[in-house]
Amino acid sequence: MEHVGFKNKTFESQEAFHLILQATANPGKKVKFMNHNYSQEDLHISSVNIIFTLLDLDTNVFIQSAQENIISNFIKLHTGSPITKNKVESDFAIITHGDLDFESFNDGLDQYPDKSTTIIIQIQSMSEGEDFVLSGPGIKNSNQITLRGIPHNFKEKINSNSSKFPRGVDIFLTCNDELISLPRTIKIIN
Amino acid sequence: MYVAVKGGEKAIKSSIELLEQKRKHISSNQDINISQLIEQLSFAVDRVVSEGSLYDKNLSALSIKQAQGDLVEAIFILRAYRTTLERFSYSVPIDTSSMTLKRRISATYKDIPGGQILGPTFDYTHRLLDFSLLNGKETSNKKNNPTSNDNVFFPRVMEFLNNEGLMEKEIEKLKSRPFDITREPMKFPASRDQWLQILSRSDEGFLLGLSYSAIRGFGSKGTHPFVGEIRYGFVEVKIYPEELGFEICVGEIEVSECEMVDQFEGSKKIAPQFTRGYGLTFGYNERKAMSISIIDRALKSEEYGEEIKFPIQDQEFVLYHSDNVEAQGFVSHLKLPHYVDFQGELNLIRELRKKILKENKDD
Amino acid sequence: MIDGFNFAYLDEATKRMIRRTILKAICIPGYQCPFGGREMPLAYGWGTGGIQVTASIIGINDTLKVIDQGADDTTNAISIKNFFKKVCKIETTEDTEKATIIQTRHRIPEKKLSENQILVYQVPQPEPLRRLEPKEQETRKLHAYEEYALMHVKLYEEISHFGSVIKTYAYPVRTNKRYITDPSPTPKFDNPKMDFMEALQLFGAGRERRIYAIPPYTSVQSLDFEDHPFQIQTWDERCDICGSNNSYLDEIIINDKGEKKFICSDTNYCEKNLKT
Repeated sequence: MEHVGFKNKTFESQEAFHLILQATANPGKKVKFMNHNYSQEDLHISSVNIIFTLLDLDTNVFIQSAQENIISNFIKLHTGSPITKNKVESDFAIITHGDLDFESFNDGLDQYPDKSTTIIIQIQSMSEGEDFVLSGPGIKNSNQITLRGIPHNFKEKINSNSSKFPRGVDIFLTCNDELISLPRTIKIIN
Repeated sequence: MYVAVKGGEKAIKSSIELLEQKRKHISSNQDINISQLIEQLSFAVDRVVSEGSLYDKNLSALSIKQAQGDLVEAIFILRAYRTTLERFSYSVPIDTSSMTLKRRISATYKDIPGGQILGPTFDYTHRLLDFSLLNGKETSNKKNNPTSNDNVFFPRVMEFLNNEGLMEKEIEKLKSRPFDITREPMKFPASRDQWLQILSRSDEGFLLGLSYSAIRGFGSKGTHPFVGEIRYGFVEVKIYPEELGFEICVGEIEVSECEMVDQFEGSKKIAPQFTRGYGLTFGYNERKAMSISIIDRALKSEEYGEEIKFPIQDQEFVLYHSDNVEAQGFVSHLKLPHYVDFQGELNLIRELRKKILKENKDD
Repeated sequence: MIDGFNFAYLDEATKRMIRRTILKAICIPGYQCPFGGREMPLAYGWGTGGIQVTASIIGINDTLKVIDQGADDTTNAISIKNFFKKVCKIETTEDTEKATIIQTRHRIPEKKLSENQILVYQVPQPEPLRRLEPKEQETRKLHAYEEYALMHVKLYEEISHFGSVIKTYAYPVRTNKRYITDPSPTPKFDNPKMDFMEALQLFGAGRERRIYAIPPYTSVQSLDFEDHPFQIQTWDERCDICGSNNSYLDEIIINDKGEKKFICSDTNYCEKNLKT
């Protein structure tokens, strides 16, 4: 069965992937998705772009949201991804509401640390709120970001995740049409 | 001043033209057509079908023609095409016990229910060159009575041993979706579904040599496998569309199957019993099906707690090196320019020699 | 669709799988990420890993450069470039600075790469420990538990026997102070360029079905010992064409007497050097 997703799968997903790649290779860098053609009211434009680009039949998805059913149907229609209630089983997690801790997701195996969850967290702002200074691979010296609507004890959670390296979860923060990627290598130094 | 030679682009173009010219049928003035290849070189076509892992005899013959008879090249061409095909459905497992047999033999019993069917085989031809083929022989159009008895159920020979409890039980049904070697990277320890798939499209020569090594002495002790049963014939491929709720046949394929009986002394937990090795290939590839069944048994060594001493028992050795698309690629890559690395080696050897010669002189 | 092929040859599902692998690889610098590699219409060992990576990242606005041995006009570089021209209809270039994606075999360009470029390496054997331990099941464990004594002993043995480490290419590095990584068979001359490189480095091994990555600005250290620090190759000669004395040189035999000349391996660097 053909899933809906992008209208022009080849080019739209390449463009979106290019931005996700940029964001992941340069943690803390804010990238902006220009493709606003697809939307779902409970999901940010950037979340939708990521979902259409990376998810398919081979990825298990966990959803934490006040609109879990709606989002679940949206994802099934557009990607065919199986939805799981089990965080540890998830390849991707989409968090639109509520607090979360990273520990309960899959942090991979010692020999296969790549078998871990990528968590997409929708937040309220990337220009106002609390300041964080990041350091790690992909960052020249350090990089400052400003965030609002993030999980409690964000700094401790990020740093405890990165202390487990090479295991750990990887994080996409999304807000409207913007994305910041925080791979497991990243520490918040301030 | 030295000017570096350029012109890779031109060289490639000329090389491809020369290759095309090589195919030109100047003296015979006859182009081989695909159906001639399918009919008259059927074993070659079947080998390419099996190792190219795409059941399409037309395309197999086309790739042989395109590769000018280089079968490993033909297998590569077919494999590269296969990978671009969309997968539209999964079949249910084929049932070889209800296949339309062209050949069926057992070495473990003098006679078997349903009988031994020799079928078409080179086994009892004397390998004397048939000079009458040299200038083309009129082929008779007389249709040979097929030996097979359509739609007759032939019990499996191995089942008789099974019923007596002398034979290792075959796995009944996989609990999860079978491993897919075309989609998933290799995993170790390998599972049996994984290695049987790999062996089924492995290089026939590699498998033959490997299985020979085991029965000659580089295999676990006492190994003398017995051919429980070899079958060759046609089998239906069926799919089960959920929305229909019943199976439908989508076609028929030719397969060769071999079940090999081997010994097992037993362990503390398991009483002595016969063990089995299984091999299945597309097309008429009996030699390969036999080789696979010997290797299948050897790869179970770990499961039986047997000492892993020989190459054939070593999963990584067997499974990483048996695919000729991979093997030919890596061996042939040595033809590519390596002069940058070689320059490094040159510098090193000169340096090391200078040092040694100087030391010797100082002494 | 272009001439019966999907853009960049691979189907979208395969690209998606490779893209997910690339992202995980970036998140775990130097770790060899397994992926469901596909057969390509080029032979394994001839750059199929690099091609699959390039095919998964490339877009219509990209400009591609392909080099082999540092040169744009070596036969296999041209063959790969032609493949992408055919299946992507994208711009290609020989100019290192103009390229957004550079696929390479055996060299890193002499010109410093920038943040908006991606360097894609073709890798024959991604496992730096393979020659010391042939079994994948074992080397996986060694990486998982950071058990790298085997490698250090090997290098030390070389030093005590020959007076120096005798690896001249594929000289192992430590990525982000964690995974020992194979830099692909580039000469050790190129290793220092990998350290804190501004460009993203992606490595594709098709036959072995592994992808690994080094993000920009990431520590990449060549393995060495305090009393035997890592050193790169040097030449007494200069390039016979452009006169460079700081690029990697190829030795050319110019006549029957075996007389030699030296020229830059990086042909684009050499051309530009000649012009200035």
